[in-house]
Amino acid sequence: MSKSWSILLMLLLVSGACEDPIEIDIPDGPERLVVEGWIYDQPGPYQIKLSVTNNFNDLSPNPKVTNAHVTVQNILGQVYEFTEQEPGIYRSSADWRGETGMSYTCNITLEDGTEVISGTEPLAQVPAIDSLFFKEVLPANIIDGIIQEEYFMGSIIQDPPGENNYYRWRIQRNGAPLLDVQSIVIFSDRFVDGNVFQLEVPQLLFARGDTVIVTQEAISEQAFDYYDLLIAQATTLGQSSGTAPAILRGNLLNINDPSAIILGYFGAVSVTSDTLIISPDN
Amino acid sequence: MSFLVPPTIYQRSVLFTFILLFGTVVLLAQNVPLPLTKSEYTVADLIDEMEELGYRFSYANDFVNLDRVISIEEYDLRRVIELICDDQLDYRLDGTEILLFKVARRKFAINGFIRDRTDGEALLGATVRVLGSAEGVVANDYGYYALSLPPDTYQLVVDFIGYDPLMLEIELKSDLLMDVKLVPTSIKLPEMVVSEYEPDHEIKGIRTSVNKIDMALAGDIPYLLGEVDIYQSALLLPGIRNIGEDASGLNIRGGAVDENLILIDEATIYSSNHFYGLISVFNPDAVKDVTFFKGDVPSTYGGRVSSAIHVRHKEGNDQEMHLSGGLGLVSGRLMLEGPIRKDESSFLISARSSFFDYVSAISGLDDSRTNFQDYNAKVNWRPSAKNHFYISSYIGNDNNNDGLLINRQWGNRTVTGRWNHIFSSRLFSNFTLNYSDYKYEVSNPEESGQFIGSSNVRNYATKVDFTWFISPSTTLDFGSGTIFHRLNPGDRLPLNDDGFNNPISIDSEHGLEPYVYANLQQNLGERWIMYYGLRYTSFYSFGPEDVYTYLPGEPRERRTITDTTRYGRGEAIMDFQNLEPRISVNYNFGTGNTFKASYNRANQYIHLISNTITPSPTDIWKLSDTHIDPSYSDQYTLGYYKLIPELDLDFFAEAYYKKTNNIIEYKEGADLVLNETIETEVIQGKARAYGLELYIRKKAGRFRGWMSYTLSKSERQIQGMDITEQINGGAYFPSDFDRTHDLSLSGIFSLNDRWTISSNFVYATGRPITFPEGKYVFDNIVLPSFNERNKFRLTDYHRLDISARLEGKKTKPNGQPKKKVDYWTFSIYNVYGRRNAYSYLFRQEEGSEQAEVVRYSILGTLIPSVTYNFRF
Repeated sequence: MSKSWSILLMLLLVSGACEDPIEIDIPDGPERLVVEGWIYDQPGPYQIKLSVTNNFNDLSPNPKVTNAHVTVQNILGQVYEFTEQEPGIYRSSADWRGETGMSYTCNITLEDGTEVISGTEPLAQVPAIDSLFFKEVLPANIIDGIIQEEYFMGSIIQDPPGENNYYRWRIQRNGAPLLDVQSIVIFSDRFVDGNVFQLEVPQLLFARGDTVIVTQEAISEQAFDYYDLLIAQATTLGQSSGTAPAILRGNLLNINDPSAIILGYFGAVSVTSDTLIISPDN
Repeated sequence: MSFLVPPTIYQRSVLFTFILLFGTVVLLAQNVPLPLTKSEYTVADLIDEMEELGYRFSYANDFVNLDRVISIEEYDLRRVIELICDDQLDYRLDGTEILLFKVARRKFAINGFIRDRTDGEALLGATVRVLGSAEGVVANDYGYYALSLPPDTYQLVVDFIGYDPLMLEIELKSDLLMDVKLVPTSIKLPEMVVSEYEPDHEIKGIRTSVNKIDMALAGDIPYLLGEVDIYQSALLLPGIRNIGEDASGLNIRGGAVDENLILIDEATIYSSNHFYGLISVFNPDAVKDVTFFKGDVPSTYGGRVSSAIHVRHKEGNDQEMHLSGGLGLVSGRLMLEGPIRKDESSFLISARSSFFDYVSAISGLDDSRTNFQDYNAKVNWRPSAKNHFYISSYIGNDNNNDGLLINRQWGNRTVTGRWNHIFSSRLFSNFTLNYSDYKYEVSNPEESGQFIGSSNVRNYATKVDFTWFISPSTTLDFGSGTIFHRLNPGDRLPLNDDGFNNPISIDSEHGLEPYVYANLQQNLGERWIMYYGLRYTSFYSFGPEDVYTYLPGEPRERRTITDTTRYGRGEAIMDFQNLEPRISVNYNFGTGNTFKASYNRANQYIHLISNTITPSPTDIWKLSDTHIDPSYSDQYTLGYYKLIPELDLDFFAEAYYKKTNNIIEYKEGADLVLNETIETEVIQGKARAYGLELYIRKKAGRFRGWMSYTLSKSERQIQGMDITEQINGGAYFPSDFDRTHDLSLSGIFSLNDRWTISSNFVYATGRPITFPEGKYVFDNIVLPSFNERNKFRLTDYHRLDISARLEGKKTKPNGQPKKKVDYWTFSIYNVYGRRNAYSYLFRQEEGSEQAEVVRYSILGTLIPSVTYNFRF
């Protein structure tokens, strides 16, 4: 009896909560500058992308911001020019690379004279990946009566003691980067400072024979907080007990008008990577 | 239990409570033995002998009958003087000086408890009045009344909503202890009908903005999943809202969820919903009385800026044993109550549980499991007419498993011990000790991330309340209390020590909240009733704790910390002292017309910090301290009440304006979990709410029903230290619980002896929502660009529910009445299956760089249910 009750209630509630795509008129808000730029301790060129927001319902891509003057400066005062090579995309020279232990700031002057400056981003040394491993999903998912053979991956990492470390992973499956929001993996050493620790990524599933490349990046605390909120805004927005809508502030400031919000982030990261082949029979 | 309290603060406040408590006792029990020689005197001889003992009498010869013979049983000064006075005189005693003077007419008190005859439950708010006069009193919150009158013969009427009025003829010659027992109008299964505090039952005036949910009245309205629920009933009253269908807590007159003081038998409840927000934690079977103080909160209550909600458990039937219960789609209920010793002691135990782990679609995870349980127990003992002891307890538990391995468990538990003592016929007292604990625990046994995290909020409270029935026209409530708060914001410990995880523990917070209050009710003539209330509250926060100092004039952030001060165990960190005046004026005119006005000030020293749309069990409670100021509110209410007895109708209109300072708003993107510097994640601001509430009800006859309508606005303002902390540029913006229009209609129609049908219709303006006013791409992810908070609204909410109730046969085939009473209810929630928007989701269309808007509905379909209830 209990089972039939439970099935009845399940039907009721599952059919109760529902999601319907709808059309609503969303007015145009203020057009905001969006900056996306990363520099690495790897050979360049690096790029800084400038665009502006458009209407939420607009099907066209975001308009690019051209003819800006973009530079990156280290704490020693050395300035590197980024030149516009495609509309809205500003690149450094290929021979320039970031140095660990150094800090960087990005300066942007728009065509209309608006000056934008980023916060100072430290380029910290990335801790090494000790090893990668994979595990089979158990119990296996069954789709249309077929038992799915799926694997998820994880890693063993030695966290350096006594300092706060923030990590971001970029993952490639068989040479193709995974770009959706579920594939952004960030974590900190908040609970594991100084330990050898294990990290599992159960939300990403792989098949037998897949080649997985993990790029581990050391990001700053501020970049970590930015991604943390970005992920929440991209995934749980609007659901019950979900994140409330918020302005996603990065580390950029409009010097001429501090109340004008600049979206996006300029960051400096160091990188290490490792490769894993899902080969359960070995 | 160890009190981690600085001696000075602790002693001061405890001393305060005890002076008030024992001071009164000493005053009342001051006995002076008199060394008299005889047991019979004439008044003249007695006065002579006492003067030889050093007492001096002053009186006029012509009104003291010196030849009257007195026989003395008790050689106590006051008793002897009272004998000299008889009932013709009154006296004043000043050291050894005794002044005798004539009283116009000496008064005696009729006093006692008003109870239900069938189960012995005290009837709070019942009235006793003298037929043919304006004299009368209202029983206090414990069912005690005292009415002082000159000696005479009186016809008294004792009355309470849902009970047959009782007429008593008494000859009053001396103080009279009289417990009154009323018979319910209809003895049916306890169900609820929502009722405004009956104006015709309160000769001595009501307070403004008080709503009661009457548990004793038979009646019914449709409920979601057939689960009778106090909160669902409350939502049909004006001025009470929630954010959405699965939102925990209530928003009363535009206030936040944490601004309501929620008490079960005087103990604080921190989380008042089960199963996310669908069901409230109060088991309707065990509840006797629910009172909502929305505006004019008596000075007895304090500590929250919006309202007080007091839920009182039944005491347990002291006449006969009963087993009752019910079975619905979600939960099963069982309650046993009965006398331990008839008329002297009784008990009640009840349990409610969801009876299977059901799939929770709300979390969106198909494997997730959710269940809840709650238990209530109460014992009471009346060893004598003057003493009454109670112990009651509530234990609630919610459990959720997300289908992976993470298990979350939370719940509130309370214990209350009370002693009611009658010091003299006109002085009633209540002594309370209680404990409340809300705990949240999350565990993840998964090998790589295994941990157990927990947080809790705890308080220990003592309280002393007195009701002094000074005269039929004047009643004084006064008392004091102390609440000791201990908050543990969070611990995170490895489940087993594999060396991966380090234990983390955030400093506990400690606070002490002592208070004293007095509330005088005075009837001036037959038309005016005044309430003068005053409450003095203090709050002390103390160590052990690390307190950070931030750069002055800049937003508090971890990088602006300039210094850390370590406060030791019991060392005072901060203190706040506040006075809360509360006043209310009632004016009665014509027949059945009342006009009321009130003003109310309240302070709040404990705050709920939440960064989600609706409160979640993981939310953090925070005490006021160096960085977080107490919130305080001022509320003004005007009301007009009209009674039309010929049509069984009553009506009221109330307007309110409420301003709250130092409300708490989280910063955008606040991280609240295991955060040592929670003050860096919040900003304080202001809130204002105003509105008009209309309510009309037909309360008797085959058709009963009511309509309530609220027109209101609720806004907040956050200015912060600089522009990064401002919301909407520092201007007022609508709060999440702002509803312009809110209408509900409820109707109940009795078809015949067995069938009753009922229906609700609810309409409300859609809740404010923040729309993305643009979109952009960052790291290949389409993101909404938000601008102004709560600038837009969801579509309007409306819904129709119907239900039918079938009473079981009341007689056996042979015509004998059945002992078992039972009924079925069949209900349909959301009859026309409207997909009311709970929120909009703004997200990336799968596999593209396009954005889409999705309407998210929680209960977007019709939900039928059936429930069976019984009582033996």
